[in-house]
Amino acid sequence: MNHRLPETPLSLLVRLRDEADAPGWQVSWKRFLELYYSPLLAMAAGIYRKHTGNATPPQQAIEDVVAAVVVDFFRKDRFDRNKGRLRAYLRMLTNARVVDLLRKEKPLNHESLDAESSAGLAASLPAESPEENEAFKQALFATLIEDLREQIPYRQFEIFELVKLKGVSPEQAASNLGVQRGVIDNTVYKVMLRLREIAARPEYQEEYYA
Amino acid sequence: MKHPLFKTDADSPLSSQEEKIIARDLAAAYQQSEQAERTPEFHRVANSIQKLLINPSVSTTLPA
Repeated sequence: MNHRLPETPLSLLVRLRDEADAPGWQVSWKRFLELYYSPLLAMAAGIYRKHTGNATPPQQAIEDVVAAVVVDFFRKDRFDRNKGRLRAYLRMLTNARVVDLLRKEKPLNHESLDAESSAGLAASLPAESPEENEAFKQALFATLIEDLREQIPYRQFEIFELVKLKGVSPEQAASNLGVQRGVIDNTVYKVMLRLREIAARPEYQEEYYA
Repeated sequence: MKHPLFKTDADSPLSSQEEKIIARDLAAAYQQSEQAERTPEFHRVANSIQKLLINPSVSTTLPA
């Protein structure tokens, strides 16, 4: 991303959604999609496989499910973090959309669903696949980075980004930015401490170890 | 097992192995987030969402 984005820490995702009528709402859902696109795809594909006895999910249909889930997230009733985790909420929305899809899909590689079967599937959320778990954790790391970006001065983030996220050596970073090597080391150390403080917050702990 | 980045005692020193794990996972997540938006699939999904959100009268029910 080469543009400056509004704050998107995990604790503010709900606020972003609730501000869907505000001028920045398009940036909000796009940023949400950038952060959670991979886990949503993995969720949709994993849940589709579980409900169909391991049938291969059609790419277009899975993309439609992901789009519908994001729209649901920004439109539906208020998500209450006190009543559940973001991961569980997204899985519930995804499951409902996958069941919706299966009810309408022509059964090429799985049995068709009658109303009773689809109601049962909608009520039963399949266990999380390892792929979903991995993708969600990676999205959580990306959310943490966004959270960090909003909480420290730009120059500090720039140094951290170069060294820790882009793999530039501290010597090269110092040379690129025209500062002494010690400035790089001190900044990276301070920023890492800040990042760990953010990661220690309950909302991140709960989502990571869900 | 607890990931070193999510240790609740954020002030405690990290071992070099823990630092490597954190650096690896952060870089992977950063790159994944950067790359996701460059795929045609991502843009198809984003376009669908845009249409659905801009026009509230459009049903979000999936096509039959």
